[in-house]
Amino acid sequence: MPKALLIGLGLLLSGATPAQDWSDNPEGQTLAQAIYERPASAGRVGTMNFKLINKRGRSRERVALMAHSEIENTTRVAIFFTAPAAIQNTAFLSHEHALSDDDAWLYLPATERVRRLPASERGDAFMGTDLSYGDIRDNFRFPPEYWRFRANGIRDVDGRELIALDGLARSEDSAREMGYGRFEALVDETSLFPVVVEYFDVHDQPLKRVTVSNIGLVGEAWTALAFEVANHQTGHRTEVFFDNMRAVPDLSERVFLPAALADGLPRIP
Amino acid sequence: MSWTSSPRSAPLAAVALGLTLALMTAGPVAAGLERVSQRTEIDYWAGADGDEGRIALSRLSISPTLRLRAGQNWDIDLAGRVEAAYDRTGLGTTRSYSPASRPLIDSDHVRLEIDQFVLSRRIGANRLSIGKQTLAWGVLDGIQITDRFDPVRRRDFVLTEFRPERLARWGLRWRHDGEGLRADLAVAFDPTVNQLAQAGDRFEPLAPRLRGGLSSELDTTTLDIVQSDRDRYWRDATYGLRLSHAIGRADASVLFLSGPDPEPLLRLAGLEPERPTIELVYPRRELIGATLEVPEGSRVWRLELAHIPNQPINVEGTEALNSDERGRTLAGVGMDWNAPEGWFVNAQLAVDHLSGGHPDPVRPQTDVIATLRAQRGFAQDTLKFRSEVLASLSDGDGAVRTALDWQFSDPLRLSIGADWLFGTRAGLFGQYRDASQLWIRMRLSL
Repeated sequence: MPKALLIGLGLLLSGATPAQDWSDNPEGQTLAQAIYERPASAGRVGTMNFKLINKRGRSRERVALMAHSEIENTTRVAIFFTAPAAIQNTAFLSHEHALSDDDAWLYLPATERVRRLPASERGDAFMGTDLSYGDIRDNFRFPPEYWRFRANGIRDVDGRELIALDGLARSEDSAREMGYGRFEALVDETSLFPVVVEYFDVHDQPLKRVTVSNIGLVGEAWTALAFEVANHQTGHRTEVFFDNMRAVPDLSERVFLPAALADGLPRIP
Repeated sequence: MSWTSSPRSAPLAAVALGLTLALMTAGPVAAGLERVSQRTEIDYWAGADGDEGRIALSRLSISPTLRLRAGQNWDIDLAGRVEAAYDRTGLGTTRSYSPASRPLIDSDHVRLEIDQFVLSRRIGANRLSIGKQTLAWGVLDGIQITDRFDPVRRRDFVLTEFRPERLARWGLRWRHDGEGLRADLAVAFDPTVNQLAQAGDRFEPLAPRLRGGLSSELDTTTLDIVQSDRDRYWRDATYGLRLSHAIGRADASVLFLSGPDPEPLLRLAGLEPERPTIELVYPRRELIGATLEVPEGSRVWRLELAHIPNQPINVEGTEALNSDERGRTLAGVGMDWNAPEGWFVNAQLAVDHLSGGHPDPVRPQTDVIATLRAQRGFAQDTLKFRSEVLASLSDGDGAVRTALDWQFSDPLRLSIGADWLFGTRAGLFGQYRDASQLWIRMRLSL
């Protein structure tokens, strides 16, 4: 992040603005573009731990091996569940294409078949978590085709300077598709990673807060290693953290083949 | 109706069971293997149909599964099931199993079966699997157009959670999973055919179309039913080859298979005036087919087409249990739809047509089957509602199943549901119209 941009952003201090009074600014566009173009890893693998906690504090846990790759406008994510026993060997694969519709497959051991899934709406919940399919797809980025942006100054959070970035859905259709009308984010300057994102629904009511508590460099890409998504409207929250996250630049193509889902956990060096 | 053939021992299954138990109990590490996954599912399912207050279904199943890995290329998959039932649904006949696939314990109320015993080796993009395994082909959901390699269980008719319930057989499978053409070649040296409900059980076939034309009013206790020998491992082997390729974003496949038809053909084997004998036979038939899966936004379209040039069938005639061969063409279309508000909808339509000829077949010349399923998760998917209709448009009958699943905790799932079967006694579904039931199910995954 250039220093001049940071200074420019600092001049734009202001409070929260209702959606109807919203106006974007070039600094916001520049920052959002920089976030959007944040370097991605050609391949990374880690053990993904989900904890799903309802408003009464009762929790369920999921453990999965996750393989992720971003190459030439296609992001591929393979998730192989290892726990709990009820979903062991269930596997999910998505190929998200920047220039065309996405593809997704699911392997359920009980059906003994890899099944192609219809495309989910961006706003649909991802496998019972508080994350949406759009959240997974965007990977802590804000696609400019869906959002208008406004830089909103610098915030001091626990002695750490974070850049405030606000987003407003470009249209009612965009808002409906995402399930979000606007967001308010705090972005880490070094990593260009949003570490807190407050989302509002299409009626401008607080919907959920994403808090990233740990980011790390995996290969050359900054990656969220621990984060929480709390839904204000349901009281439900999802905690996610990764173990043993590592860059695997030469990740085998086979890991992302639909037919290979039935073979279970891939062998990854 | 009574069975007169007797089961024989299953030495191969006994060896497999011994190895399975050794690996599960002694620990894979001792054998130099890595345990990739291990699970035991305990499932209790109970149903009441209000018929004089008797329990229609009361079945306990314990199913352990284990996946082991040896080095970079070898996998071992093991699975078994112990089942106990004391009800009017029963565990189904095992006379249709080959001796090698028969349960190790096989009594009226308790059974122990090997569901999977597979040794696999990966060689580059190829995978060779040897052992007792299943083969799920086809793209439709529970409707078998091209998915006809494996025999299936029929003891619960179609009222299972996942359809079809496949029966594993001993054989070889070679897969090539390249990025272009994918090939799947399989041989089952195991003449096991479809498992039927036991005589007198709830889902014993009653409609004339499934009894070679014999009336549903016929007193079956006056008949002896014998199963043709299921021990001709080479002559009654099943062979199949499927080739798949992507066409743009669509997935297409063509396939061929040859093997005994797993649905029985009924033949008069003895004409004792007091007690006629009927034999269930399974002539070989061939199938060629194709599938296509096309994504289209929030929908996926699935198409299947199959042709069997030599389908054995029972036909009408002056003598009972006549049979013939006809051409049979099956076609099906299905759609998965991620509907608004979190609903998932699956709709399918299938046509099963026999070529013309004389005399008429005992089943309709054209069967038309439609299915519709809607499901939705609530409360972060801890509650799942699903309702489905299976209907024969040609017979004018069907089944409706509605169920609610509650994931009480990570290991425990509770379900409650109702099945309603309607139609005439001669129809595919209506023959079981007395089997409508309310049920509960408890599944514990450890």
